Amino acid sequence: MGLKDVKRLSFEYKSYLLLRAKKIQQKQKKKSHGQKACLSTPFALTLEDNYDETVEFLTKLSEVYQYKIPRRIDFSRLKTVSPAATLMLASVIDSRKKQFRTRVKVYDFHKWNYDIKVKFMQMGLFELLGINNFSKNFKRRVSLMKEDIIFIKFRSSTKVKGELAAILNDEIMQITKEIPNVTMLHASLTEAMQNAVEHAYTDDMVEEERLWWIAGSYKKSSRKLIVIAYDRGIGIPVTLPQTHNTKLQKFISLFSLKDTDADRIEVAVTKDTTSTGKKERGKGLPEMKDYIKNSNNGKLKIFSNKGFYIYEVEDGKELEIKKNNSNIPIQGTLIQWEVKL
Amino acid sequence: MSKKKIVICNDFYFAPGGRYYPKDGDYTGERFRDEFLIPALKNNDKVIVDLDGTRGLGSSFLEEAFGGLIRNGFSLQELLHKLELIPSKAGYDAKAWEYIKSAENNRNA
Repeated sequence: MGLKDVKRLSFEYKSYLLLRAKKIQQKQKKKSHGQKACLSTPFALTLEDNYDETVEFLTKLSEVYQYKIPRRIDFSRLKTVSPAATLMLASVIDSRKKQFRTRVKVYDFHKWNYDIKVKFMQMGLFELLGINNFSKNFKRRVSLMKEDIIFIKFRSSTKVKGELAAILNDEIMQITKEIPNVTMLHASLTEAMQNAVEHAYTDDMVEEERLWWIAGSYKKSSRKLIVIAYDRGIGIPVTLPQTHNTKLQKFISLFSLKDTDADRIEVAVTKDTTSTGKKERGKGLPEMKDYIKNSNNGKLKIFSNKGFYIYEVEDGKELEIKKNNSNIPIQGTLIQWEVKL
Repeated sequence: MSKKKIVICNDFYFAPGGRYYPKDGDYTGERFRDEFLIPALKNNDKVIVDLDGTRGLGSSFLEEAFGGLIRNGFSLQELLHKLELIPSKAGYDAKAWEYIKSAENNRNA
């Protein structure tokens, strides 16, 4: 049988076959969607009170996004969020959006806790998630809300951008009317950006991966202001001087430290230490501590890899340094300044 | 005697930050040093710098701008003679001089 003997398909029959193929494809898609595993948030996303579950969830979410595993993210269980954990969540979604240029899908929006919706909206997560068609009722309830804690929208970049720190501080000022030593806070934020840009990421990472994020919150009842800077890099304990280990070890043995991640954070905050080995560097973290040192009541909290460090000032007096190590590392470094206004 | 005054918040940027240009950002210490301080110091007998008025100056910016003058061939003596930093409310003038002296010590070490 030659080629000319093959029966030509009519246009109608071709259209019918195409339509059938499409329907089969859609059915398969629906079926596979139903089979997608569901990644649920814990009840509380907060590093202070629910560290392990929070970090486990954020790590899983990063892996899901990194390897493009299709998953449903269920936020309906979530009842409490801290500004730091919300910023970390925003960073995972923002990273994915910038790297893969795809929108993250969420489900069952109507089942989400109302307070969580408000906090996510304030932090700027809805813009990331592409959620913008709010009901009139939701908008009305938000405008009438007299909530105690207000989140301040995150900003992000791959460069040191003082103007973004200025915008964040301006938005805080609109709510609080004052920020003590605001120029020092601004300088601390730009130093956190500098550390992220210069030290946090390895050379093989592309521009879209080398991001930092800043955000804030204000609790009216206790007049507590929180400002946070976060990067998803390799962490302070790793970036501390590889080439200056002798100096580092001397310092560690001088203060009877054990060279854990928390000890390394303490060294970085206390001394002019840097991964570059240059004497003029490594002043950023001590400067971030100075902001709290100059406040009457404040805390500097640093989470980096498995280490956790707190420097605290109460009624103008420095308290003993608190530090600890966890079993699960956070990805990168989170710096949190807390001051009482 | 020629004089040049640089007001950082008007002549450069209201929110500078970062060390190297363009790697770290657009308004860094390196850029301020190379585009403002060094040409002014080369072409004038006296350079007066007003560091107030910005939203805040981080140590990376200040160190690279002022400590970097020493690494770019200026001596402490020369800068003490030519450079005048207007006393700053935030103490930036003192910090900048500290970075200059520290860079000079590192060069001589």
